[in-house]
Amino acid sequence: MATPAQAFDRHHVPRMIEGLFVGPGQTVNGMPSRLLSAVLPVLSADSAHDSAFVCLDLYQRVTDGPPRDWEWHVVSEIGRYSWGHTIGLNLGEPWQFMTWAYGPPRVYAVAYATPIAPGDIAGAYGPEAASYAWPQDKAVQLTLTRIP
Amino acid sequence: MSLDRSWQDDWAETWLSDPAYVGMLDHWVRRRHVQHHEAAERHAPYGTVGPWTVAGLVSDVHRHAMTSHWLWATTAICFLQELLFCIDDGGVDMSRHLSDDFIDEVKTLRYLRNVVAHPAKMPMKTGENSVDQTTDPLSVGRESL
Repeated sequence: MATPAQAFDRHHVPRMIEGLFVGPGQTVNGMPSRLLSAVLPVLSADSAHDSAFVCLDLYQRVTDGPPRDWEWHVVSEIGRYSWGHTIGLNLGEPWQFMTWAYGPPRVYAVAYATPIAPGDIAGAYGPEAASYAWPQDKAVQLTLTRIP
Repeated sequence: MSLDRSWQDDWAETWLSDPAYVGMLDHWVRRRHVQHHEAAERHAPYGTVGPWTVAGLVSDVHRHAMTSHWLWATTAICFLQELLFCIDDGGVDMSRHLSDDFIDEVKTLRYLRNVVAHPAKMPMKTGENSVDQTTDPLSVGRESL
């Protein structure tokens, strides 16, 4: 069984930015009580200040039980056909990422960056990030560009 | 449903336009999917648990509606109802836990599903698999979703 410390780690990836992907026609009325999406900026980024940065796309994956739990996981190339925002990006739609991580809401335009091989994730995002990715598939990378 | 209003106006009044709510339902449906697979001792990856997801179908509904592909938008809504209202028990029938408050709306969506997803099937008896069961099936509120 996971210890409380382990459970906490599974629910929080250092440096990640939690938020919400917003598609065409969707509207956001304030910060949701629970955020189910997040991105993890590359180590070289200063996400608080950079106007654009590359990141991994994270989702909350239900873990094999028991006990029933969840952890952040990296969207893979195969997963691009499963999520609303990646399906939209596949079709060339304009999607945004909204976060409250820095206080007032920030909005970023979302675009695909080059997918990253599993073996390269640790170098670009830290060794811990590699453990959240599928070992057999390339991971989706996004470029977030801040919208003033 | 009003023909005087735009799709955008109707859409904006439903949970379909709320990305946080869509995400929550998507999460719940995926989780139930995984649990049903596990109960049958099958492994199901959460991220790719099935070809249809709530998030994917919701974006399909909007995408088709924006291009006036109403039949496809209706089809996506019908598939969406099956995910939402059947997944709790893991079958193709309505969940036993559905609230009586909206059971009629769910049934109407299911009649629509039969029409759009099984276009060649003819009713074997009055009322079966049929839009006969509701006087105006297309009046099923988008607002109900």
